[in-house]
Amino acid sequence: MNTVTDAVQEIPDKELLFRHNQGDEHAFSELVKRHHARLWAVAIRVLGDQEEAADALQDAFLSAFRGAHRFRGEAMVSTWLHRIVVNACHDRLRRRMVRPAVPTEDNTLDILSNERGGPAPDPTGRSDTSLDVHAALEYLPVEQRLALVLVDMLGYRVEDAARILEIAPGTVKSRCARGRARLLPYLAHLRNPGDSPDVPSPKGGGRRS
Amino acid sequence: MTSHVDPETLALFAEGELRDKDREQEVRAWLAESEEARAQLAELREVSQILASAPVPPMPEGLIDRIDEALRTEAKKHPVPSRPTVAPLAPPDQDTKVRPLHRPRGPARWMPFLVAAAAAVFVLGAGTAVVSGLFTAPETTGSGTVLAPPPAPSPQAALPYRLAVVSSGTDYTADDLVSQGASVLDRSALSDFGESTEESESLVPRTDEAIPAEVTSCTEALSGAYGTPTLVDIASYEGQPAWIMFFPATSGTGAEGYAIRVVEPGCAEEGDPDSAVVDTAILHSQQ
Repeated sequence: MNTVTDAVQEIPDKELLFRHNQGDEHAFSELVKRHHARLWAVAIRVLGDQEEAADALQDAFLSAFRGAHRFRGEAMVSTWLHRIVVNACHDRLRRRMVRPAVPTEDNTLDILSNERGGPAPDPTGRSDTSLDVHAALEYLPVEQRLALVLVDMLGYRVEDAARILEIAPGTVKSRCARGRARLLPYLAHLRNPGDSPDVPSPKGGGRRS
Repeated sequence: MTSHVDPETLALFAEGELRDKDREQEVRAWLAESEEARAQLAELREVSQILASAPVPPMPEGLIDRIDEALRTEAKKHPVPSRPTVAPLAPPDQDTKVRPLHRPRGPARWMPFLVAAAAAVFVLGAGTAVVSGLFTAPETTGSGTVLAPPPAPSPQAALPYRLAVVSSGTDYTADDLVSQGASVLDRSALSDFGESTEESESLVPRTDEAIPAEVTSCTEALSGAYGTPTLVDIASYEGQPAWIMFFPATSGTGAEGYAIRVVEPGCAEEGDPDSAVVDTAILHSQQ
C-alpha cells in the first residue's frame, strides 16, 4: 500500500478522507497527525480534565473513522473533525452536567456565587492562570463555554466557530458576550490580585427580553 | 437617566449584538458619561485577553499512540467502513445510567432495522445468511430501510419504550429554553420532575397513531448520537417550527436531568441529522 508516500503533505484532507473510505489504511492516521494538536486544544479547553479530554479525543477520532463516509464534501475536513470533537465533549459535559458543579440556570449560578469566595479551590494548591480559567469556565452554561473556548481562548474566527458549532455567527457572538459577562467576577482576581472576592453577581438580571 | 447597564448588556453591545436600537443608544450615552461604564467595558475586554493567555495543557504522553492503536483495532473489526453509523458516540460511562436504548456499538445499533429486515427475509426462507450479509453490504440497501420504524422490534433489540409527543403551543426562545422546557415537562406529567402543576393545564400526549412518522424517524436518526428522547414537543423556536426533544440524563449520584434539544422538523431527511439540532440546553431536576 504505497498510496501514502512522502508526498503525503501535499495531499489535501478531503483526498485523504476519500482514500480512507476507499480502504487506504494509512490515510486516516495522516489526518490524525495533521489535526490532533488543535483538536486536543479544543477538548482540553472544553473539558478541563486531561483524562477526559484524552478519552473524548479518542472517541472523536474513532467516530470520524467510522463515519467518514458521512462527511459532506462542502464542509472542510477540519471543520467536520472539530464538530465531532465538540460533540464528543458536549456529550461528556452533558453526563457531568447533573452534578451541581456546573450550573445552567441563573438560580444555580446565584447559589454558587453565594457559596464561593473565589473560583473552586484548587486541591493541589497549585494555582496558575490555566487552572483558574478552567475553574471559572465551569460556571458557564455549555453553549457559552463552547463559543468562548473557540473564539476567545483558541482564537478562531467567529465564522469558523459558527461553522463548527452549526449556529449563526450572531449567535456565536452573543454567546461569547454573555459568557464574558458571566466570567467577569470569576476572573477579577487575575486582573488585580488585591481585589476583594466580594464581587457582585455576574449578571444584573436584564437578560430576559 | 441611564441608571445602570449590566455587564451582559455591555458585552452584547460590544459585540454589536444588542438588537434593540434604543437600548444601544442608552448604552452609548452611558458610556459617554460614565467612567465606571468605560472601566467595565475594559474589564470585559480583559476577560477575552485572560482567556487567550491561558496556556493549553500539553497532550498526555502516548495519547497519539493510544489513538492509533484504537484506530487499528477498529479497522480490524470493520475492514471497510460502509455502514451509515449515525454518530460519534462514546459508550456510556459505567456510572452514567442514561436511560435510553442499550447501544453496545457498531451493528447492534441497527438491530431494530435488521430485525425488521430479517422478518421479511424469513418469509422468503433465505435465513440468517442474508441477514448477516446486511451487516457488511454497502450502501446499496439504501437509507429507506433505515427510516422505516421497525414494526416489531425484538425484545432483545429494544427496550420497552414509548415516545410521548405533545403540542404545547410554546414558542421557545434561546434565553428561556430551560424554563420553558421545565414547564412543558411538568405539564406533561411525564416524570417526577417538579411537582408543581397548579396553575398550568396539563398536556396530553398524542396517541401512537397521531405521532407523525417524521418525528419517529427523526428521533431514530438522532438516537445514535443522543439516545432516545422521552418527550417531543411539536412547537416552535424563535418563531420557527421546531421539535423540542427531551433526552433523559442521569448522573451517578442519581440526580436526574434532561438535555433539551431543539431540532428542525424533518431532521431525518438530512444526511447528517445532528446538523438539524439548532440549540441545546440542560435541565436540572433541582431547580
